[in-house]
Formats: sequence, C-alpha cells, structure tokens
Amino acid sequence: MNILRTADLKKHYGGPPSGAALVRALDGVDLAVEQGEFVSVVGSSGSGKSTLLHMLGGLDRPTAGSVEISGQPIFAMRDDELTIFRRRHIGFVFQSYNLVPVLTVEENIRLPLELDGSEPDGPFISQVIDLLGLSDRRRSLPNQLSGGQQQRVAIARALAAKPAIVLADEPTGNLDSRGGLDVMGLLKISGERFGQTIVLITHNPQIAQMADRIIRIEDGRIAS
Amino acid sequence: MLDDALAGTFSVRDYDETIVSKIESKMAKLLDASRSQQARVADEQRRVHSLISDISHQTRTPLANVSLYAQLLMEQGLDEPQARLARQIVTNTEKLDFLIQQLVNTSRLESGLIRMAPRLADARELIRAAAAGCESDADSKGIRLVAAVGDSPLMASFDPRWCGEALVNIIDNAIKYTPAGGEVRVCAVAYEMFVRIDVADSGRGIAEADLPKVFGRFWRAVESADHPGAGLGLYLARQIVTGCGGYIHARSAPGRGSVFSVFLSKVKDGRKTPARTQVQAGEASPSQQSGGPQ
Amino acid sequence: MTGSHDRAIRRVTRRSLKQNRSHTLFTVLAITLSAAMISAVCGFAASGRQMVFDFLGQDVMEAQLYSATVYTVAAVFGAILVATSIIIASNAFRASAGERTRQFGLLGAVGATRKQISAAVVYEGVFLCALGIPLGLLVGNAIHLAGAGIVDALFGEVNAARMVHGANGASELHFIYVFSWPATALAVVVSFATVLISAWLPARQASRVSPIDAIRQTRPSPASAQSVQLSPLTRRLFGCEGGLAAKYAKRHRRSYRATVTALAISVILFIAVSFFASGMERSMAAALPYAGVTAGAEYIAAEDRRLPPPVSARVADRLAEYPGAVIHLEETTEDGQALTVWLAETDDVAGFRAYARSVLDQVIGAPSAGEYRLNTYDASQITAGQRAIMLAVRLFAYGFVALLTLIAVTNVISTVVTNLRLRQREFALLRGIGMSKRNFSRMLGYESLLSSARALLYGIPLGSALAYILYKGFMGSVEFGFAYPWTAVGISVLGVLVIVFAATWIAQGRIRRLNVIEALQE
Repeated sequence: MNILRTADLKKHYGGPPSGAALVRALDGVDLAVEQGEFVSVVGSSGSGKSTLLHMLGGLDRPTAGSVEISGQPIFAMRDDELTIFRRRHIGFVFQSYNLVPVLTVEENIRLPLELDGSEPDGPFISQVIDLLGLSDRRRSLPNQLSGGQQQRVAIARALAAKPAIVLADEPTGNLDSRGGLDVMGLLKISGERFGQTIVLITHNPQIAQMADRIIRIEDGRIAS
Repeated sequence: MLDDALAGTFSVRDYDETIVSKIESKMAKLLDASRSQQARVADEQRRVHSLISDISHQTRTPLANVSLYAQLLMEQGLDEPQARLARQIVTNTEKLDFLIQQLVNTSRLESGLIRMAPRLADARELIRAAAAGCESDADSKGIRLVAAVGDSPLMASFDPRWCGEALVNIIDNAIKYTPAGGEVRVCAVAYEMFVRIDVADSGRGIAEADLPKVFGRFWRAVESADHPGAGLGLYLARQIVTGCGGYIHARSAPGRGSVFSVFLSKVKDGRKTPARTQVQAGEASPSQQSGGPQ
Repeated sequence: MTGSHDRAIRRVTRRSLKQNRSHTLFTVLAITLSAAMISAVCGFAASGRQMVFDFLGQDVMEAQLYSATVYTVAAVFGAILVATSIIIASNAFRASAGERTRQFGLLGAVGATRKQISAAVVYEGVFLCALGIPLGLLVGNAIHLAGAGIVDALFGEVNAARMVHGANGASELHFIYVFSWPATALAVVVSFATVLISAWLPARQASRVSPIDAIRQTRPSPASAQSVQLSPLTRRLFGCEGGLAAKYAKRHRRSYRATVTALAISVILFIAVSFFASGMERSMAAALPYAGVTAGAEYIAAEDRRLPPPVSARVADRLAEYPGAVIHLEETTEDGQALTVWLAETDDVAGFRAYARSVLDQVIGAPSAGEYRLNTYDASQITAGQRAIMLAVRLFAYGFVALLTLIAVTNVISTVVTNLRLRQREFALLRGIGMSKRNFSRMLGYESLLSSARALLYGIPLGSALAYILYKGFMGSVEFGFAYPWTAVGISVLGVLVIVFAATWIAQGRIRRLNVIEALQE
C-alpha cells in the first residue's frame, strides 16, 4: 500500500507579479513510497530536496500538485487541520535537532502527544528510549547532550506518536561521520522494529546508500 | 474505546440505544472481521511453511541414498568418461543437499520456529570462530583470510550460533567471489550504538544497480554463473542479523571489490518484536515485509 | 487554557520564563509598577470622593459635582497611565515573542496549532499578572496610604486656619486612606486588561510564524521593493556607519517607529504637563498673592478718613527698608470702614512688628481721639492655609510630572532595549563579517542620534501645541500671557539624548560581549 504519494508536485518562487526572478524549486515531482520502506532522496544543494521534504510534511504549500499520505490529500485541509494531521501522522527529524531547550529528554519525546492531549503509550515510549540508548538520560536537558544524543532524542520524538511516516531532513548534517552512522543505523533498525516508513533527504551519497531505495533529485525534478 | 481496540483488549460494554453503543457494536464487528482475516492469512502462511518443511524433510532420505549410490558407483572402478559422469552426480547431489538445507533454515526462520536469542557477548569471538570455519575453504582457493580484531573487547548483542552462521555465509560469499591469490579481510570497529564488522574482498565488485538486490532470494550475479552457490546465503545472513536487531550494508565498486558491513546493536534487547505495534488495514505479514526490494 | 492539550504549552512557557530570568523580572516589575499606579489613582479617587462627601454631605448636588470632578481627574490620569503601561507591556511581550519565535516555529513543526501558540503568549501574560498585580496592589495601597497622610497633614494647616466651611458645621477637610473594594476591583480589572491587550498583538504575530521560516532562522523582513537609497549628503556627513544606521532604520521601520513614538509621546507629555504644572502654580500664585505673608500692619478709620496715598506710600517705603521684607499695599473698605493694610513677607515676625510700630508712629502719629486705629499683627497663621494649598498643588503637579518622567524613562529604556535585543542576530552577523567594536559603537550612536532627532522633531512642536491648547482651555481666564515652556523643552531635549544614549549603551554592552558564532547558530 502506498503510504505516501505525490502527483506532479510543483513549487515556484517569484515570477511576474513580484518582479523577482522565477525560481522553480520543484518542477513536477511524482513519488510513491510503500509502507515500511526506507527511502532516501539525494541531491546537491539547491536541487529542491529540502523543499520536497517540507511539502511532504505539510510545512509548506505547493504551487501546484498534490501530496497524499495514507490516502489523505493533505493540502485539501486548512492550516490548523493540517497541523493536527501532521502532529498525529507525521514525524520529523531535522538537521539541527530542534529540541525544545527548556524541556527534558522525556518531555521532548512526549511533546507531540501532549500537544494532542492524548495519553502517551508509556511502555512503547520506554521501548523507544531503550532502543535509542537514552535510558539513563531521560531527565537531562538538551544542552547537556552531545549532538548525536540530541539527534537520537529527535528520532525518539518522531517515533513516539507512531506516525504513518517519518521525514528526516539531513539528520546527519550536523554530526561527524561516526555520529552520523549511529543515527542512520538507528533509523534503520527502528524502522524495521516498528514497521515505520522513513523518507530521508541528504546530499551525502554514502548516507543515502544506507536506505532500501535511493531517489535522485536535480533541479526540482526526479532524475530517472 | 479506540485505545483498547489498538491494544487488542476491546470488548463491548453496554448494549443500549445510545449512539455510542451502536458504534461499539460496529467496532466489534469490524475488529472481528479483521481478526478473522488475519487468522486466515496466518493460517495459509503456516500451511505453506509446513509444506516447505515437509518437502525438505522428505527429500533428505532419497537424496542421501542417491549420494550413497553414486559414491559406491565411483568405487566400482570406472573408466574416465564414466567416472566424470559419476563425479557430476555426486557434485550436484551435494549442491542439492546444501540448497535444501538453506531453504529449511530460511523457512524455519521466517515462520518463527527459530527464535533469535541475542545476548551481550564479545564480537571478537564471533569473528574468530567464523574465520576459523572458513579457513580451509580460503586455503584451498589460495586466498588469504585475515581477521583483525584488535585488543579491546567489542561488546554487542547477538545470538552466537546464528550470527556465527550469518558471518560464515558472508565470508564464504567473499571467498567465492575473490579470485585466487586475492585477500579477504575481516575487521571490526565499535561505534556508540553499534559494533560494525567489515568483510572486505578483492573480487570483481558489484554494480551499483545490483547492490540492493544482492540480499534477495536466489540472487546471483550474471557473471557468477560459473561459481557454485545457491543464492540464499546472503539472504539468510540478512534475516539473521535483522532478527538480532542489527543490519547489513554493502558497498562496492565494479573491479575494486566489495565490503559487507554487519552492524550489531549494542542495546541489550534489540530483538525484532514478532507482533507489529501499528494497526494498518490490509497489513502484510512480517515475512512478506522483510523480503527486501525486488 | 485548560485541558491536557495545553499542559505542554503551559509547561514550556513556565520553563522559558524561568530561564530568561532577567527579562521575566523586568516584565513583572513593569506590571507591578503599572498596577501600583493604577491602584493608587483609584485609591486617591476613592479618598477624594470620601473627602467631598464628608465635607459637603452626600446628598448635596455640589457634592456630586465635585466628586464627578474628582473622578474625571482620576480618569484622565488613569488613562495616561494605562496608555503608557500598554506601551511598556507591549514592548516586553513583543520582545519575548520575538525571542521565542524560533521556539514557536519548532512547536508548530512538532504540531502546535496557531491557537495553542497564541495561547502560550497569553498564558505568559496571565502568569506574570498573577505575580505582578497583587504586588502592584500592595505597593499602590502603600503609595495611597503615604500620599493620604501627606495631603491630610497639609489639610491640617488649612483646617487650622479656619478657612473653609462646609455643610453640617463641618469645618475641616480630611483626606484619609480609604480602602474601597470597587476601587481595588477596578484596578485589578484595568491592569489585567492592560496586560492582555499588550499580549494580544504579539500573540497573533507569533502564531502567524510559519514553521519553516522559524526553523530556518531567517526572518525575511518584508523589505519593500524600493531599494534603500540614501542621499549622498548623509553618507558624506556621517560616514559608512551612519549610512548603515540610516539603512537599518529604514528596514526596521516598525521597531524604529516604536522607539520614536515612545520618545515623542514622552516628550509631548512632559512639555504639556510641565507647562500645565507651572501654569497652575502661577495662577495659584496670582489667586493667592499673599500666601507668603507672615506679618502685617494696618490703619483702620472711618470711610471719609482714608489715609492719603502719598502717606501710605511713604509708610510702605519705610517698611520696605526692613531687611528681607517684601511689602504689599492694600486699600479696601469693610463694613463702612476704610482699611489700609501693609502686608509683609518676612522671616522675623516679631522684629518686623516692632519696627512697623515705630514706623507707623513716626509717619502717621498716634491717634489723639479714636479717629483711626493703628495695628500690627502676626499673619502667619492666617496664610498658613493658603501656603498649604499652594504646597499641595505644587506637590500634585510636579509629583505627577515626576511620575510621568519615571514612566517615560522606563518606557523608552524598555523600547530601546527590546528593539536592540530583537536584532541581536543581525549584529552578530555584522561583527562576524568584520565590523570592529568601535565601528559598531559608532553605528549604534548614529542610530540613537537618528531616533532622538526624529522624536524631538515630532515631540517639541506637538508638545508646544498641546501646551497652547491647555493654556487656551484652562488658563485663558487668568490675565497673564502665554509663556513658552523653554525650560521644559530644554530638559526634554537633554533628557531624550541622555536616555536614548544610555539605553543604547546598556544594551550595547551585552551585544558586544556576545559570542558571534553562538549568536549566529541560535
């Protein structure tokens, strides 16, 4: 079953009305991801991969085209509806971790669930925390952790809500090669363990190769 | 109500005229339908697996007999052409036996008859044992087999018996595809969350497009048609390692050899949970999932 | 705001407040100050009302009129206070929302809806109110108590002079501390509303932050399409740093405008109120010209035996020779008698009286047979009341000016510091590309100069205009001309420059110490 599907996705900036030059960040992207797959999208900077990820996660609206997650066309929803959908069905891992600095590790992990007002699944979250090697760091603050550890907290946060899909934006970008390998490995095995679908974007071909399937993007288009 | 359904502990509470009750009843029906569907699928799987088991089991005896008779024939004093034919029979019988063995293991693994029992142990032992097991093969081909494990312990979580077998498969594979006089090198590195065991060969390498397919069932590169093998070794290795909570990753360049990296988790219980923790309609069974991209 | 949805939001808000201790403290202080003043004003109004009713009786129409006046005055003061409080509180909330923009974007990416994010800012306001308002009420009541004491003491003098007569034989004015529930409730409600209004706009802005922009940490300012060109004169006069300063001013129109507005309002109010205060004092002086009189001499005779002017003038001259005395000459008719009075302002009452006696005897001569009477007296008691009233008026007027100045200073400092903090990242960038500390200081100096100049350009004319309007409205009846408030203008020019440069210097100290790399990565 396709858990993610895009149809002719386009994102343009500028153009005639504003007088600035037209930038085609995405120029007709068709993509399909099966449930349980670990897919990586590789491209150099400016290829449109970040834009693509933002579209997939509903963080930005496209100029044209559609994105369907679990069969739901996400841009047919209003902003607030989309936010709630994102909270429940999409997990994000960012390059700069983006943890809330005033919350502990455990609180950060539970945050999307608490925003939803749902009761977090305690045992499941413990499993995730153990798998990611964070058991003795539950009550630490982000500034007490190394980069790799912070990214692991970010992964745990993304997994906690059992989303349909996890989107990772250059998750190893701010880490050294060892830290990066750890993170990739963890993404892989947690995806395997929990049956999670993962889409990852990177400019690093070595990182990209760790995934099950590699998609190349260039100038806003999928290179065949 | 829904939380209970997700956890599998749902039961209808009240029967009355309210809408909630109606929803509960419908929910119960839905759950029943999906449950029986799952049961049917599981049932079919079981039947397939037991069939495979039966096939492999039943064929063992006749095969052993064929092998025996072929051996006896060879001791009869045959002339060269006849002896060659007899040798062919023996070789192919051995191949068949090996293949069936692999298939049995695979099906048992997939049906959960075999459970991985990972525990924290020193990975160096694993490497040494596997290297020792492949020593004779490497020698007979004139290939140097180097196991560089270093001085410090490499604690990781794995099932020694099965992961040993997986490692042997990989090293075997490397030996198979390295020409005589080449080198197969096994070394290990520890990361924060993983221990990585690299098996590097100096063989012909694997094309980039083929890399993901390498772990598939019965996959054999076109060029390796002349090498003996069933095509299941890597597939089995991957199943085993994944079952222990780790993963295998391959990189290669045509003409420059390949490196197969086995990542073993350092977390104590990285075992793959048999039951899925997500409920998705029409969900495929675990074994169908882990077939890898084809 | 209730419910588990918002528990996480509330937690994040509380922790952020705890982390940014100095900012939180400052905001609570601002809220306390404004709540205190509003509560004090309400309290004074209540006391004033009580005073009027005690004195005139409750049902008398005049009482209603006077208490209405009291309320009006209090309302005017209160409105000014509330307006300024809103400005200060808005600054504080804008700063906190600005610094937390990235956090909000993060929360948005993790799944917080716009409602939840604006709820966060409002919750911060509510939380700070819970701390600041009770404290403010306490302080306000203390001010009320103290103030009432002072005013009552002054009234004591008035009462002693038996100058006033009210209804029911009441002959004393009392201004006492009155604890009134309605006044307290009003203060709480108004303070609360002030904070909520101030928090509302930044809340909406914060919720509109798109998660992407916030995560990317670029806040693309909506730079207008027109390029930011400057006249070559500016460049020539002020050099590169000045040019940069001017460009920043154009780019950050909104925050720049906020600073200028805050300054200008303060200047306008200062000029107008100073003018009003001094005008009031002058009219008081005109109305009570003899408040300073401490002793007197008089000639009382029948109407037809009025003292001829040359004689009274000669007496006046002779009396004026007494060291340190200022003489006023008055001729009146009372009960069919002609009265010539020489009023003296002097420190030495007894000595003057003796001297006056001798002068009178010498110039006019003792009466032979009851045709007239000569007298000297001690007037200090009589005019004490007047002096008290003058003191009270002076106290109120200048007290209010002082209060206003305090508010203005706080306001300006808060605005300037806020705006500078919001631009921390920009500054780090400049430092990062190589701007030296000296250049940087000069650039900030020029910015300060620009804002001050603009503010004074608006403030002085408008303030003078307001002063003139006040003059026409309230003091046209008095016969002195419009005296341009030069001192007030001078003080405000000096004050603006000092305050702006001081505030900039304070904020700049923090920015200079900033680690460029950390700031860029934030």
